[in-house]
Amino acid sequence: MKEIIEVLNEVKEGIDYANEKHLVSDGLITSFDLVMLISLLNEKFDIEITVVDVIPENFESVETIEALVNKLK
Amino acid sequence: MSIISLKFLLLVICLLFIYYIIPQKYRWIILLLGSIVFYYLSSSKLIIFICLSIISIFIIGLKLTKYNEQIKALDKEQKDLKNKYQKKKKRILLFGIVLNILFIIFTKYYNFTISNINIITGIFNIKPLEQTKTLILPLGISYYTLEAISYIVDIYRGKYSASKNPFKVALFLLYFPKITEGPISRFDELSKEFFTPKKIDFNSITIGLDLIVLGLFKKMVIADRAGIYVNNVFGEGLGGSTVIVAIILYTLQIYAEFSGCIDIVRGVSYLFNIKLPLNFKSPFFAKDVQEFWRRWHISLGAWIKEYVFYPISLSKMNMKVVMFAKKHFNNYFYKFISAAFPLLFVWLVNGIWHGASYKYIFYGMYYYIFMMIGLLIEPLSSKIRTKLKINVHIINVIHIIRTIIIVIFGMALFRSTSIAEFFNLIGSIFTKGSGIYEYGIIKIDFIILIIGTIILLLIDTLSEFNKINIEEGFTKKVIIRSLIYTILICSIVILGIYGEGYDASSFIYGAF
Amino acid sequence: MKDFIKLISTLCITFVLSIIILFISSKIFMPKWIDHRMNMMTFIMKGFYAEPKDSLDVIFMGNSDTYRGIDPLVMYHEYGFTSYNFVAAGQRIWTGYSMFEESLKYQKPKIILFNADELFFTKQTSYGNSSKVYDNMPLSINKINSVFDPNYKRSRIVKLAHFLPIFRYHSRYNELTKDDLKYAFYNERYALKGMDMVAYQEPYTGPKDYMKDTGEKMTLPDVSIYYLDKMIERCKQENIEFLLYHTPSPDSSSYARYIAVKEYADSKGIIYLELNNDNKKIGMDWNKDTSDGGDHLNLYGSEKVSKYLGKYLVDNYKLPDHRNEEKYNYWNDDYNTYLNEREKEINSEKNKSN
Repeated sequence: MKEIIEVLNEVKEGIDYANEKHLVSDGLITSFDLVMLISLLNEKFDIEITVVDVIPENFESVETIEALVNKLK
Repeated sequence: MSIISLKFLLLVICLLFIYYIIPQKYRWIILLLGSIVFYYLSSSKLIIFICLSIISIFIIGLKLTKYNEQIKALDKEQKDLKNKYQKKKKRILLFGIVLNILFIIFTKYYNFTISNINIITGIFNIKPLEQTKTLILPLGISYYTLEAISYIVDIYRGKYSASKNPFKVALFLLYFPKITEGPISRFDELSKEFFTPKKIDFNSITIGLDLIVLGLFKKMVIADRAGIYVNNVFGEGLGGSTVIVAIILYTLQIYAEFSGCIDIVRGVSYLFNIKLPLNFKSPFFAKDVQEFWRRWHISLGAWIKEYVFYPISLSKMNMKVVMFAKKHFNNYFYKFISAAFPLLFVWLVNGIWHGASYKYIFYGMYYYIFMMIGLLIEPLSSKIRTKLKINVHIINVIHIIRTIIIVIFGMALFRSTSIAEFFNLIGSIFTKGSGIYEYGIIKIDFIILIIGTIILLLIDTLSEFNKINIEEGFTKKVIIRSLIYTILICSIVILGIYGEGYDASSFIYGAF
Repeated sequence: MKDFIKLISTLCITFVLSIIILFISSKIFMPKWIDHRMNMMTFIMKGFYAEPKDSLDVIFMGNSDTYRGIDPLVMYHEYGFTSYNFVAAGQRIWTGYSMFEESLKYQKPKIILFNADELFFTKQTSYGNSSKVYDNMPLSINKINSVFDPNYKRSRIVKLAHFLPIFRYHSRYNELTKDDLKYAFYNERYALKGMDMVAYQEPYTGPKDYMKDTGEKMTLPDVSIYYLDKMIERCKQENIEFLLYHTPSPDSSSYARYIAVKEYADSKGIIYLELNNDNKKIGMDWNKDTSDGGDHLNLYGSEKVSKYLGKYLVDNYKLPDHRNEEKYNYWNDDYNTYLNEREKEINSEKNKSN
């Protein structure tokens, strides 16, 4: 959980990731940020997030991102 | 067949009648038959092209699904076999994509391709190939080709399995409301709509009528009126305020027409209780060019994002570039560099999709350049903004105005017949104008246009701040809806551009 | 169910409101044909409907030859019977027939005279000419039959626009004038009783013996025979005298045409008054009596023709004399208006040539 917030801060600072639940649909994270985020997540957790996984629902909050990562591990 | 014609109206009425008589689970078949009739009446023998696309993606879809199932059935140890199947999948997907692209190259892009080949033949002194006098243009090929590719790519990615019924795949591509102007849809989205038992929903029919009447108003009262002036001024070597007004009116024209026709199309679909995706979301509230293309022609941007941007961005090569940029460049540049490569493709595709000429490629590059400039300046300008503590609302307004100006000139480029004509147009702004009342419309027409613009703005503003939702219809009250219908219908009859000297049923986005 | 009721109610209310607005706007947007260039057709049409029911003894039918050539008020003043030119510019026989049927809904004339001039024109007339008639007809079964008559060839949309003219004239929004509003619901008698009165004189300089037999032969077109038969049959049923006539018009008259019509008339036992054979008796002066060199007459010519024709009618048919009847007093008012208009027209023509 903490690691994911770390990664998110690497991508984009200044967002309260712990509490925001609509990161993508509220426009807090852009598609470029998403690309960056995915590359970092892939590297950190040794997973492969593919295009199929790139749906807004998976990246709306730390919880959903964690769920995705766990699914792919 | 134009969607604004008595013929189309009659077709829709006949189909509706049969549709709601037939048992619910067979209703989609009527949609398919109606779509075939519509397509044949519009393009006659050219229906062969969409049939080829349907057959190709049907077969390839099934094959891909078979491979997916085979891969799933493997154990973890059978890595070699898995790789073999992956390779086969890749090959057949590539074949499917290339085949469908070849169809569209051979038709819509034939002369463009030939003229490019002739550059090479010119260099090597080979005899140039001949262009054709009349391009073969199967109806909606630009739209259904993208949908066809999305189908097989989605199956390749395991998003869903292929349909075992070729007629269902056929309906997906042929569905007549969306074949001329979109929205570009996905198979899983539309399957949910098509292939569940469709009962008659009078609320849906009412919303459909709302959209149709609104769309007709936008097209016939606003768009076609602005179009008279635009057609009389563009490319005529005029200047000054005459041209500035033309440029602004063109953006009004294309917005009213495109969104109006999408309203009609989605409205017709609602009559059959089939919901098509949105294609416009108050586009002129966009704060930057990126956001504009998420609000304008939404289905195109979404398709390019899913099938061009993400595949390229998430590709191993691009990932390497992204990591490299993050390590070696400060925050300032890394976003810019990591976006540059995929975005180039995004805008090349967007540009060339709109038309078979370098002007359209330039059109894509126009937005690419602005987007890149935006990315470059963004970190700096946000620092300045926070330092100067400027009110965020004022910033938003400035950004919105900036975006509108970029878009208006982008549209002027889109309207120009060549890159040179576009630059001439820009230059002519600084020359002397020749008034605005001699170009086909007079003072009262301008008043009508202004009122029309206010109506459009009102709808968009109320939608943007969630005060209304057109998807739920104008209102729940019978009297108010009746009044709105009456005003819109009478405006269309009295103020519409049709009849002697006008030709309201030719569309800008329809020749795709 | 609730949604269904709401939808149906909405559609009904919308339909009713829209029809009302479109009907009113049709009246306003319709061009008003109220000057000589437009052949006074709005007045001719609307004026007919405004005449009191069953008040006309004679109805003259035909084309522009009639509205320039027949003067109902001269006939009223001289002989006392009431008449009206229920005619149309560039009329074709199928439209003439529809106006014939229309007239019998409002009047019980003793005599109907049909001008043979249009019998030889079988090509469709201009859009303006047919609109002047059909756009000014109130909705009725006869209108529906007339507009959708297969001999009247127009596109479906043009035909539908005859019922709601706003569809054809909506582009006039930028040229509407006060007159458009003033005459939108015009419902007054036309004092000139269907006449287009012009004082302009342009002499006819062609041969005076244009009615001599040149050996040429003409046949009456089948479509004209078809409608004439219907009109003759209907008049027989209604006990109305049906006559064919032809006002003096060197431009569109010949011995061949005369014989073709006469043969038909004789075969049906119908009188045909070819006035081109009576130019001397009428006293036609081809220097003074035509407004366009021999195609149409002017008010001078029509006065002579009307006196002559009126005399023939009172001598051969039992026609009433309303000149002292209180019920027909308004004809005296109309006659005075007619005199004023006549004087105005003659003076304005004099002033123009000075």
